[in-house]
Amino acid sequence: MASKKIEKSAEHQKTQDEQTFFDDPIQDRLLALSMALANELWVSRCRIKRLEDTLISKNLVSKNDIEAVASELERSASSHDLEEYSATLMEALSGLAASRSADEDTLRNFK
Amino acid sequence: MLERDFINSQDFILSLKINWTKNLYPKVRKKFLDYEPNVRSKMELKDVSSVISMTPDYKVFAWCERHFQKMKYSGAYGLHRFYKERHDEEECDNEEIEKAKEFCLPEYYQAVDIHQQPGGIWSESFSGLIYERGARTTTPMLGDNHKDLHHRFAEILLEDLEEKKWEGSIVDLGCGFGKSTRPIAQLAPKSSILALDLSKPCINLAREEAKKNKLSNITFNQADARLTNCKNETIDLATSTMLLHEMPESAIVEFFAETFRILKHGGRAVHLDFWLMRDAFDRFIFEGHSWRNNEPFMSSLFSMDLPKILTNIGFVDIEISSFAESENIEPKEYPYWRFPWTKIGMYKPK
Repeated sequence: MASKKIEKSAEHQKTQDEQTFFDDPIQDRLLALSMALANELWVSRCRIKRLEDTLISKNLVSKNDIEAVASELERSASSHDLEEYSATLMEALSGLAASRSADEDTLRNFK
Repeated sequence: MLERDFINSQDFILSLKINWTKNLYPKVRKKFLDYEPNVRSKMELKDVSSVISMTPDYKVFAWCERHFQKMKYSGAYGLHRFYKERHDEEECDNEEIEKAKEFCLPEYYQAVDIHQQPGGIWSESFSGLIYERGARTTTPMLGDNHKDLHHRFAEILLEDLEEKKWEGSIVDLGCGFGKSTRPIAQLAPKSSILALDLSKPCINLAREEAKKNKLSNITFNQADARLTNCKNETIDLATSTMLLHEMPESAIVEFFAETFRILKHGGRAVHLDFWLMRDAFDRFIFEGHSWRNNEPFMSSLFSMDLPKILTNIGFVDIEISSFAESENIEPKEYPYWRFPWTKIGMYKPK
């Protein structure tokens, strides 16, 4: 009956590769990232709801203040923020580098 | 980490798991059920694998099984991080932990972080708490009725006995944090129960819970189920719940031999585990589960010829049958994901 003393802790084997299930392991990682974000989103939604409910219960705001459709004025005021937000997201899809990498000329010139 | 964030996150993961159980699993199984019954009945594991394993639904199903469990234990709001933070804030009994480390654990037990719990269920003083919290959602469809499973099994264990008056000796092997032991103690309060587990943190938690429940007829000890330290032929009833599939084949055989040694003549052993499956599809799913959920020995248990092994050891009246973990479950027809719960009963000859 093989046995030995405890030698490891929970910190062990952190470098072991995760199992993969899709044709490209990147897909596994992207899905994991999406799920982690969805988890964060749910936790944030729960926090916001708690905050809203508390504000309403203490009569600091009315239910209508929170649930009413935003006015044209409000929407217009936030349109710039929305544009920036969208642009940042889309920029990540552009495939363009944000910093200069070495190209062949550089490598040739600086041997 | 705020406890409320932790709870909301765990609820979220559980809701994903329920969806996986009720929607994704049937979708994968449908591919198998689309075959004519006479074709299905002849399919073997490799046949199911060849038609199912490359389908997108199965790939997503498998990914989810692995990663929902990973999120549950190791995610941003995972069980391990939650308990570790709290443990670090509390005074911990280092002497107790050091003493526990002196106990020689089997190598197979230390080789894998079972159920994807970082560090396994034994290496930290709060490992038992994590295991207990995680076990509440192991069978997602049972929800709060998870306790039913153990209670129903305890009733089966004692079905032939006058429960409240019974004064026999029982050993609960691999008792974990005592979830399987407590219903037995409640149903047979005059019995004397020895409950053993390899994990010191689990044994500590089991003792606390028994005390809270005012159960004085249980003795909890850290021990290997293959080396119980019980005298020969002194036990009336030996039992285990979800232990066999966590041991390699050789250890299972040693375990059965040990129960045979300690049982009185005419004594009974009943184990609850995963073994009988409806078809090759179930086998395929649980071979995968064994790998994905870090329970590597489950797969070898499936391949074991239990009736033959038990007969060779000397057991008689061996009865192996499906076990319904809840009243509303019909094992053969159940459409959602569930473990292949199996009751494995036997007697030592009189």
